Amino acid sequence: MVSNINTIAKNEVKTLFKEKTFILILVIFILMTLLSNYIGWSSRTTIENVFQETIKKVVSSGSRQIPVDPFTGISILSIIKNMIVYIFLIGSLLAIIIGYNSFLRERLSGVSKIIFSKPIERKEFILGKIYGILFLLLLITITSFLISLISISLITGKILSLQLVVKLIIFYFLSLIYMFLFSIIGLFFSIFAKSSSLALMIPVIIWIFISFVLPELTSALNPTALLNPANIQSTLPHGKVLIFLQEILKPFSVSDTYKVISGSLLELDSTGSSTSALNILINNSAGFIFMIALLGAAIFGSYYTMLKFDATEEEIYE
Amino acid sequence: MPENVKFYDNLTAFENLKYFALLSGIKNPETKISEVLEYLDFKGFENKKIGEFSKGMKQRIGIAQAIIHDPEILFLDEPSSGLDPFGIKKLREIIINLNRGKHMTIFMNTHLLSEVSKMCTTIGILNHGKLIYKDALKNTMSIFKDDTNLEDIYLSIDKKELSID
Repeated sequence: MVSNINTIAKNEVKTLFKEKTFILILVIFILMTLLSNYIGWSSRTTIENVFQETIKKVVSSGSRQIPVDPFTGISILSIIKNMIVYIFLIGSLLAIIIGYNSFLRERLSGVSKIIFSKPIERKEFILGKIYGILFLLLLITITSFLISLISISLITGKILSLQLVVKLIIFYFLSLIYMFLFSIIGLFFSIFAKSSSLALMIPVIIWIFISFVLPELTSALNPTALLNPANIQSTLPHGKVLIFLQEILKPFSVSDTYKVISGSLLELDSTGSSTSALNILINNSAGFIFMIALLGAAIFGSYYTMLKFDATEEEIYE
Repeated sequence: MPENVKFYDNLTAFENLKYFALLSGIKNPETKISEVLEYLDFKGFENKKIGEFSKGMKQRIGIAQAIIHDPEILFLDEPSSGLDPFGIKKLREIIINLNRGKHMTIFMNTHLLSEVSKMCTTIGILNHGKLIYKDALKNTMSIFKDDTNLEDIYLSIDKKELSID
């Protein structure tokens, strides 16, 4: 069983690496990481320069009131905080394409008919697919992690502390889970849907719901937190119903969970025990557990649908 | 082997065959692939991408993946469908060799009755999923002496039962 799963996973990786779509996704992801690092470094440097100039002016004017460093309490990892937005908006969409493409190309081309004429079980096939997708996403995530690690070290001119590396690893691990969830949603509909357009359209609708609709009812009530992963500095007055709705829905809004945990991991300074990676996860445990549960449900759904898949089906509709 | 057999177009013939051989339970498929390609007179094309192959070449790779694990029985669905005369002739030779050389029992369904008369030893006629006739080809030809070819025999077996579009 294990050898068949490995064979299918290896083939998944091999075929995707020879597809232009996947290469494009990989390139986009690397560019996103580089861009995020550049923007983070550029804005931090600009703010620091302005701050230094301000201090000079304040000192030369004879004032004793020195302004506070704008980066007090802000982690150096915040340089890459744009990655949160890129992953939650673009990374998840690219992950859907990876999952959708994984089985649908075999259904569309008719290769699935040959595959299922071989002595392999459906469960081996779907587990091999899931393993292959996870491996590919892991590869993308590790590449992005290494680029970020090297960039931050080069910018700061010193090697990151172990605590910051752990936070960075947890951020990328969370990003992997988040993208994996969307990939499996894509995979599920590539097995379940009766037409190729529906197989893509439904996951995209789910992506819109998770990324935009649900946050409208939760974090959007504090507009600055909708796209910005920064911690909420002030809250706006709302009716009791909206506040109640926000409290009820928040653990179910996986994009909010991702943004809040990632924001805390990258933004908050590592001093103080309340900002440790473990505490950040504990503080958002309900949302994190729901995200894992949703991933589990998507995996089970794909597994079950594959067991019921009719390999003799006529050509799938476009 | 299904009609219009399809593969991963962006992989080479060797990579495709290796994948299907591994799924068929062959542990070290490299030697076996080489053997099968040699048998099918297809050496020299293994490192070309399948997307660059003609229909006839794809059919031969289809046969290769189907026989790579030395099955005793082979099912072929419309193997000559869409092939040019050269491709049909080549495929016919391969199928006959598989039967005579490797002693495989081959079930083949086709609408090309001329191919049946050139290849098959036993024929069966299906009408709406029901087997309405089955006999050795030689017997059939001797019983229906007046009919000159298999098409005439086919039509005369049961004109009432067969629906002719």
